[in-house]
Amino acid sequence: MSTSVAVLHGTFGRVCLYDMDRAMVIHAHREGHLIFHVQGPPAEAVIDGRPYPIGPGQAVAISPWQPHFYRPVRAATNTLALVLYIKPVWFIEAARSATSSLRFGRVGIEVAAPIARRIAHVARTMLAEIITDQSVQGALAELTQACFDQSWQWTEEGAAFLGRVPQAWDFRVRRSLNLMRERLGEELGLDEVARESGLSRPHFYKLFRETMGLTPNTYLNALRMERAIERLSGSHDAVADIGLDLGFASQSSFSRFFIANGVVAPSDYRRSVHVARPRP
Amino acid sequence: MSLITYLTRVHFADRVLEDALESELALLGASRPLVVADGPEALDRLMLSLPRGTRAAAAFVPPSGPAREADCAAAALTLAAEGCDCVIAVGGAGAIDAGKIAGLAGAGAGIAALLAGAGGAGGAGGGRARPVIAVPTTADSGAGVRAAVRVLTAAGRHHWLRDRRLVPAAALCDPTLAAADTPAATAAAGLDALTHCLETFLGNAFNPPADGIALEGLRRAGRHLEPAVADGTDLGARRELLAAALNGALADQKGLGGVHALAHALEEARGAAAPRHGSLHAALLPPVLAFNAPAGRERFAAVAAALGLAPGADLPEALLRLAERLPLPARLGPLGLDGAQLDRVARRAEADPANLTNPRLASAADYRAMLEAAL
Repeated sequence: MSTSVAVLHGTFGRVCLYDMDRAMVIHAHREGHLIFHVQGPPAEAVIDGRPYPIGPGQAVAISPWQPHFYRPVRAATNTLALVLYIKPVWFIEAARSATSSLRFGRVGIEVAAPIARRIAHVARTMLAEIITDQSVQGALAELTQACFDQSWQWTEEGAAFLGRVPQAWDFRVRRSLNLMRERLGEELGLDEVARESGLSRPHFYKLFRETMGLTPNTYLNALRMERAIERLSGSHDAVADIGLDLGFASQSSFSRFFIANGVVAPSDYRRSVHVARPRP
Repeated sequence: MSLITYLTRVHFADRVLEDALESELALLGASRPLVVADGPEALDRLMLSLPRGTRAAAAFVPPSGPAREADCAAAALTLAAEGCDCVIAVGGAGAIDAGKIAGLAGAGAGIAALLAGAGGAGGAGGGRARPVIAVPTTADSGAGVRAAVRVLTAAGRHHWLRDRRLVPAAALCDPTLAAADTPAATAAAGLDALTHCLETFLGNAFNPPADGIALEGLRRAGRHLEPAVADGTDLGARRELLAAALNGALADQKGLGGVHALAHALEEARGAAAPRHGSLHAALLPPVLAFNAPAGRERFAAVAAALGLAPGADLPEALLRLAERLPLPARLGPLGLDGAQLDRVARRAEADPANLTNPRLASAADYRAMLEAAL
């Protein structure tokens, strides 16, 4: 069972220290994503069917909405990982890129000495008793900036590491995105979303994939995860109620979903989350 | 006289110090400046240019090298004790940076706190910042407009602080202020201005305005560096070098590259005996460009054209020839660094912020190889 050591929410997004021992399902999220190895055996992230190592010398950078999943390489031994979910808007100033901010140039990040030091620093900060937004924000900015810049630097591997290039938006896809967001938790099938967006089911799936780079199901799951995380950290609502509101039949099915998409159980997430507050 | 308002208000003209200082102080509503200076000549002209009724306090820094933590702290103390409402920083990079840090520290958080919280987006904080008027007297301070400063800490380390609030309220670029420089100092500062333009242009961040500004800076530096070195009284050539420095600083948002990463690390390693910033660029440019060639060779042609080289000219080779004509060391050998020192320099270069935006990913081992090639 993967467990959460510490989770911190702030203006930057989320940063999590997870003790991980199991594979996840393919998922995506709107934040830019960095996964660093802290301790234990190496693991890997799979993107487009290709595994990228997460180990002492290697990390992965996943762009917003890029489908991916984590899996251990050696079963039965836990890997301690530092996982960043960076809000693109927070990073917008630091990104020196013309495309959407926080789109990484490639997935594979070499953990050079300066990056390794920053990982250790953030991991240590996560374990501190009192964390202010400021105490971690500078370190996270430096870490994200270092990985972002490196991902656009040329290496021997060259363009082979490049992620996908986002496509132009289709208004019907945009309509479907709105529908899914507004009616999250209602009994809304994707067939209905397709119909209301003015598309046949196969055409909807194809167009959505081309535009967003992920399936409507993966997108819907990401929205559910966002809402779940929001309520777990920002309210005292019972876990079972949150699951029910999101359309899950039982707490156990909600937990299974949350673990597969977000590493740890919802109750574990709630227990370890800390919301960093800006200094008054 | 021209007023350029990219990034901040930049007055650029001969004797603009006398012409614009009063109006800039009035614009800030300031009448009690802290003057941070690194030499008597520019300070004299500055004091004579202050409007009547101005009560100025002064803080002094050494004439070369990066801003020292102790000097910054002393300047900030003076600022607080004298109730200063702005900072006028006049001199080379050390004076400009020290003035900016004192201004940012304001009357609040101390320098140490500022340095501890340093780096990254929205890093430093604390205190009510005082506006700064930068008056650069050399071409190696980015015309005083950069959003980054370098501090030599009490522990002997070079520490970078990058914060948008470090951009001064105004810069007064007066080419007549640099007239006293020696040929070696002019060569180092001028080559630094050229290298800022070169490294920002070669960086692969997407920033077309910065690329255009950098190329124009290269054009000016390429044509006027040697005349400025050859004849210290050639005011036209000095004006062009200061313009190139301004362009290099305006393009700075793209970030620098390997030459600066190595130069910073070498200067740090040499401590008190550090050579003037820019004086090692000549030795570093050829190996760094050779290393970066696979990542951006197609941009070399545009650089060569801007520098006025013959079509098809080999850029690293041409820069090596330029270096040999300048009164600067073309090799690092005379610094006498041993293997362990080279390793440390390579590791510090890897950790330097400029390494993040080098067009090609460079490790400490890569920097070690570049250093070897430059010995």
